Amino acid sequence: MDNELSALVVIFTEFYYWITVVIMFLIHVGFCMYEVGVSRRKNHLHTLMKNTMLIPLITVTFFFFGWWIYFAFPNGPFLNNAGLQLEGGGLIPSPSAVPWSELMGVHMGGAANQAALTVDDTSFWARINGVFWAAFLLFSWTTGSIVSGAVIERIRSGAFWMLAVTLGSVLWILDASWGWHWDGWMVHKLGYHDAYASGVVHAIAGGFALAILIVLGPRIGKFRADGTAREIRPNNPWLVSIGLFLIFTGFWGFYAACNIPIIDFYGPDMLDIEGSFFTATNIYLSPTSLSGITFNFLMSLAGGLMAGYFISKGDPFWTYSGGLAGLITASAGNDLYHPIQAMIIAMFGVVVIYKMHYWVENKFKIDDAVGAVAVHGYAGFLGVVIAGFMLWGYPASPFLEVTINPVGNFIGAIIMFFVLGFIPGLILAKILNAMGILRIPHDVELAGLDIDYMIEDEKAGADFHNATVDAAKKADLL
Amino acid sequence: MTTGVETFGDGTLHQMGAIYPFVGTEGLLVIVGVIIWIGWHVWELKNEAREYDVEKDGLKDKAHNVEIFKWDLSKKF
Repeated sequence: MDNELSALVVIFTEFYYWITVVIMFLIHVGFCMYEVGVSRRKNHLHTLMKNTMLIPLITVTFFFFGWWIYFAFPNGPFLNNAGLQLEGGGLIPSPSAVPWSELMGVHMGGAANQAALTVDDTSFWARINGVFWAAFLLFSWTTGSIVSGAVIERIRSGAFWMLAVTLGSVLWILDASWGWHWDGWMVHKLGYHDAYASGVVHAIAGGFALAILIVLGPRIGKFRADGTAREIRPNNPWLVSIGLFLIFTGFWGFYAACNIPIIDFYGPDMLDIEGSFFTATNIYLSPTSLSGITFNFLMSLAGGLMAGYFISKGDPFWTYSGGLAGLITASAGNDLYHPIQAMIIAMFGVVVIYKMHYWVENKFKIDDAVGAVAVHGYAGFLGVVIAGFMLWGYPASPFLEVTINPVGNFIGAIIMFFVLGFIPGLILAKILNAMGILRIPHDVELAGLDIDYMIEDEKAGADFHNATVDAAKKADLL
Repeated sequence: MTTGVETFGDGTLHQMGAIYPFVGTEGLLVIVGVIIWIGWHVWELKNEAREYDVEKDGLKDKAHNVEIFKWDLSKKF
C-alpha cells in the first residue's frame, strides 16, 4: 500500500468482492420469496424464518471454523499432493483464517502481533480477508438455502439449521478446499474444473437435499394411495417467479465473486516470468475475462429459460427454474465456453433435469417441493461432467501439467454429489430422525406450522375488535 | 489432445486470442443457434394454438364457466 498503483489494485479488489456480496444478498431475498410463495399459507412464516435463520447461524460458524477449513484442507483427506503449498501433506497451517487471528478483524497490514503470521500474511490479507471471507460466506448461505426449499412444510427448524450449518460451514467449504482451490488435490490429481461452482455448490447441496428428503418423507397428502403424486400448487406463483428472478439477479454477484478480478499473470505471485500481463482469472488462477463470462451468463440463462418454457409448456415455475438450472449446468465451464455453446449446454441440461425430477418423484416417491434436487443437484452434476468433455485437454491450472478430462470431472462430480453431499446428508438425517427431532408432529403438519401465529392473530384481532366496539359505544356511535 | 488451449503457463498468454473450445466453429454455432431460436418460435405458435383450442373446448361447458367467471383475481395476491 506504499505506492498508488499497488494500492489501487488492492483497494479495487477489496471493493470488487464487497460489491459481489451486496449483489449476492439478492439471492437470499429471492430464496425467501420463492419458498414462501411455494408453501401453503398455513406454513408461510415458519418457512420464512427457517430460511432466514440459516443466515446468522452459517455466518458465525463460517467465522469460527468454515474459513479455516478452506485453507487447511487442500491436501485432501489423506494425500500428499506435492502442490505448490507442499507442507508434507495433511493440514496446511492457516493462521490468517482461524477465528482468533488478528487478520479476522480490521487490520492495516503492518507487522503482526501474533507469531504465526508473517509480514507477507498481513500485507496480503489485511484488506482482502474480510471481503473474500464474505464472498465465500454468501456461497455457504446459498448451499443452505438450496436445501431449505426442498424440505419445506415438514422439517423441524432446529434440525434444518443443524443440517444447514453442516453443509454451509463444513461440507461445501471442504469440497471447495479440495476442488475449488488453486492448489486443491482434486485439481492436482483429477484435473477437476468447476469454474462457477456447478459441483462445489450446487451438486453437493442437491445431493445433501436428496438424502434428507429420503429420510424426511413426503408431505402428508403428496402421494395418493396408489402411489401417484398429487400436485401441491404454489399458493403464490407470482411471488415464486419474482423470487427466482431475484435469484438470477443475485447470481451475477456469484459469478463475479468466483473470479479473481485482476492479477499480473506474469508477476512474482504467478508465473514469475519477464513482462507483465494483467487479467482476471478463475479460482484456479487460469485466465478468463468478466466480459467473456457476461456473454456466457446471459446466453446460458437464455437457453435455460427457453428450454424450461418449452419442456413445461410455459409453466412459470419451471420456466424460471429452467433459467436457473441452465445457468448451473453451464457454470462449470462458463469461464471458457463460447456463448452459443453455453446456450446449448444450458438447454440440454434443463431438458434432462426436468425429466429426472419427475422420474425420481414417481419412481422413488421423493417429494421435493421446489425441484431443488433437480435444478441444483442434477444440473450441477451434469454441468461438471459436460465440462470434462468440452474442456478436455485444457490445463487445469497454469502451474500444473494435469489437464481437464472427462474421467477426472466425472469422479469429481461423484465426490461432490455423493461423497460430500448425499452420504453425510443421509447419515445426519438418520441420526436426527432417530432422535425424533427431524420431522414436525403429524397434527401440527395438518394444522399448519403457523398455527401459533394464527391463534395469536385471532386472539389479538378479537381483543382489538372488542376494544374498538367499546370505544364506539362510549362515543355513542353504537 | 485438447479442445482448445494446451497451456497457459508458457508465457504466451499476451499473444493468445480466442480461448473457447473449438475455435473456428463460430459460423456453425451461429447457424445452430439461429435454427434453435426460430424453431422455438415455430413451436410456441403451434403450442399456444393447441392450448387455446383445449381452453375453448373447455369453455363450452356453461355450468363449469359459472365457476371460472366467479374467480376473483384480488383474492389470489
